[in-house]
Amino acid sequence: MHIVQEEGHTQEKLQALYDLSDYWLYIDSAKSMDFALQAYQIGKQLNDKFVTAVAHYYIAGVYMEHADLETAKMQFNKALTLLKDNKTIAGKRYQARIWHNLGAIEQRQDNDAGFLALLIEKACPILESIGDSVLLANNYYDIGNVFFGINQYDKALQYFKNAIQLLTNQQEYADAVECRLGIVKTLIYQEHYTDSVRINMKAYLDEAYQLLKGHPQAFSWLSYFTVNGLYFQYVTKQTDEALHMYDQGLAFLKDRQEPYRDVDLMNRKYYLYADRGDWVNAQKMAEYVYHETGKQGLSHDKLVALRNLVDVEEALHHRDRAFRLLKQYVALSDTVRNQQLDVKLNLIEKKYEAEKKEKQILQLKTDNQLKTASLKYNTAMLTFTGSGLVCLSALLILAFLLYKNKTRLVEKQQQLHQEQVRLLKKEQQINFFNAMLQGQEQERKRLASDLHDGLGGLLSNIKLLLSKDCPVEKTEEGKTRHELILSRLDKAVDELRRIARNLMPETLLHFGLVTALRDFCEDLERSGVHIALQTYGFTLDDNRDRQMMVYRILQELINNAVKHAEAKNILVQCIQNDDRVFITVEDDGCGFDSGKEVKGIGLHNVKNRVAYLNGHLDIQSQPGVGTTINVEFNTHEEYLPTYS
Amino acid sequence: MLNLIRMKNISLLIVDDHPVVLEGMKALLQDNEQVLVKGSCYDGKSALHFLENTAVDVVLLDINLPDMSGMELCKEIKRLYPQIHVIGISNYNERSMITKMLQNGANGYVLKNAGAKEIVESITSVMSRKVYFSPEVQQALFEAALHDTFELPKLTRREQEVLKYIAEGKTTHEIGELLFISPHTVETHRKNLMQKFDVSNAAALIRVATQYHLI
Repeated sequence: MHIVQEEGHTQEKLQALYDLSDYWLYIDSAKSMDFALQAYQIGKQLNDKFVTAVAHYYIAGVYMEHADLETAKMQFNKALTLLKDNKTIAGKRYQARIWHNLGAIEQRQDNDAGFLALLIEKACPILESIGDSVLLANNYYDIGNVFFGINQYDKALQYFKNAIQLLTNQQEYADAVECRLGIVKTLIYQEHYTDSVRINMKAYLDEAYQLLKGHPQAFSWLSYFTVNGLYFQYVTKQTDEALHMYDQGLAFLKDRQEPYRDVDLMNRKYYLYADRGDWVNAQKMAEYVYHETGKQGLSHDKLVALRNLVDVEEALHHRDRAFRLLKQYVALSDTVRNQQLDVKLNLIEKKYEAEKKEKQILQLKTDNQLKTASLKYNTAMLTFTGSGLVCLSALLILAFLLYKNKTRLVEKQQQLHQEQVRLLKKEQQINFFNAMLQGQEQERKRLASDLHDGLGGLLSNIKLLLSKDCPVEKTEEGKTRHELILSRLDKAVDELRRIARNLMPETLLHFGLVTALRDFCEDLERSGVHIALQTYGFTLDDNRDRQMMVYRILQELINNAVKHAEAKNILVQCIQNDDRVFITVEDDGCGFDSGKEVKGIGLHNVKNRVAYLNGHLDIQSQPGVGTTINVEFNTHEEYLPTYS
Repeated sequence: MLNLIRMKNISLLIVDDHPVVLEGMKALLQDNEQVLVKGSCYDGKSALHFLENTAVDVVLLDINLPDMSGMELCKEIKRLYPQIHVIGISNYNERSMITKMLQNGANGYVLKNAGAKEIVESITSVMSRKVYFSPEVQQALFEAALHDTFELPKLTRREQEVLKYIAEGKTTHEIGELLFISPHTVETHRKNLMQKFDVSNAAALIRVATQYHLI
């Protein structure tokens, strides 16, 4: 502050403004912007291109932190234009930094290829030319990380190792630590845990620890905890130690304002719990990760989170949610795949390598020109063959990659096609079953109303006619017979009523499932059996088709208990918790051996209907104790039956 | 004497979509001394139209009509003409149907297998401001009323086991292992038990269960 207010030493003042802008960047972006703008004013006053450019660089930094990536890009480009003809080391260093940050913007917009291209083609050559090993190592580290991210582990290892070499004897420790941890992480992912690799990993981890020891606040501790946790989890299989490491990492993050950084660790913990089969804890982790990745734009992370959540929900039998998430996953992975990252990345890398080789060859050529003329011919030949070989190998690799990509694409398409055929078949099956059930219900409805209106009307008319006139026969015997006929007629009407109701529960159409069930149970109770019907929150969202389906299931189960099991007491329980429905029919009847295959058309129908609801049917029976039948399903389940 | 004369003139409308029933009713009541059948309709719309022009004392109303439900028509008639007595005639003796008719203002409910005497009795009953139910209907209502008394929630065998273990202080995990079911299922049972006893935590659940001597 003091320096800023002093007049005169412009250079010092500018440096102070840059430092202040940097300092406030993560704390108060308005202040950070303010200092950057002051530097910009000075640059304008002095009409100094370099100062103005650097001011643009800092302004862009603030926009970038604020996630206004397009404005940041614009500011960086202004700075680049101003620095174009600047050949000083400081100017070049800023150019490299700007290219790096432009690349980082590309990466944030999910364009890994762009990031890699700008680092390899722009930033690295500049830094190599001015020999700034610290910054170059930093770029190498970033490149290594991108390659790691797209599973090109050998390249990642090479770049990490190069960076470590550049950083030997340098003060900078953070990148040195990160590169070592990067190597360990890459080796873990390569999954070739030979003894020598294990020793290597341990050595790198120890080196990282030694480097970090003197810096308790260093952010790289987070990486250390993460990677060390991975090492315990996958290499030495000490899961408790791994969990301890992850928790240390999370504790380290707790006091720091670093949103999203905990997601990686939580995801790690998810895998750990999932491997242990602890799905309850795994679900907590997966939900958190899914929620957090939803806020960010990195589609790779989103894909992983979705995939994990699908696994969890499947393991917990939440099939409907698993299916919905799976659909999301498929849609997102299509988008990501379309970017065809791998191909582009490889092409750029090849181009860079070829350019570098060509430069080397050129260098050799000029050197040799100074030497004897006799060597000139040989050198030219060498150059020609060299470049020819390089081109040839590049072409071969390109052809191979294209071929590989094409076969993979064909395979994917075939898989997709098969999946579609399978789904269509299933859908057809469902439609068929659906139509059958609907036809059945319609036919029953028609029969029921025929019975009621036709036969019912006739019977009641007969009753009226017979009851109106006194018996023709005045004898006592004649009267008794008349009475008998009348009571038989009543029985006939009762029977008709019962048949019609079994065919179509009229009350279900008028008053819904619970009332219909109550009527059904009350009617059965007249035959002497005791039925306790308990319903809690049981509405089935007023979906009549589904209600009918459930009514039929219960009708069958209760009838079975009365007729076949000869039960005295039946407990019918229907509970709905949100969209989950639990139905239990329990009786004290004779029971059967639940190990044996249960035959009979009734239970087969129940099975089919439960399958139609995509639910679970569970039958527990013990001779002498009774039978318990549980049905469980989800009201938002899509119909994907697996019935026989 | 005066009373008797008035009784002879009970005017009646029959609403039933079944011609045989309609003719039977008409024939039955034709030579009745008290009841005068003023008209008969096949559906709800024509019944309402008929009532616009003709005043009647009693409507015999079928619950199943082609254009609207008899329950709805009953409500409409009582709304427009509160003084008219409505008797439902139906093949259904389910409690829900009967109660709905009563809620919609019906004064009686007769099953379709009623004899001649019963039909006449139902008409005279409602005219003297009594309600009338067929014997079977009375029985259905009576049995239902018996069931509506307070009853403890019944527990399934599995729920009894889970409740017992909860009371013993076992964790979800332990209960799952003891009963060979997943912890997730145990949680569901626990949730259902709390819903049944209308409590919000395990402690209250145990207290209520002890109170009712379930454990």
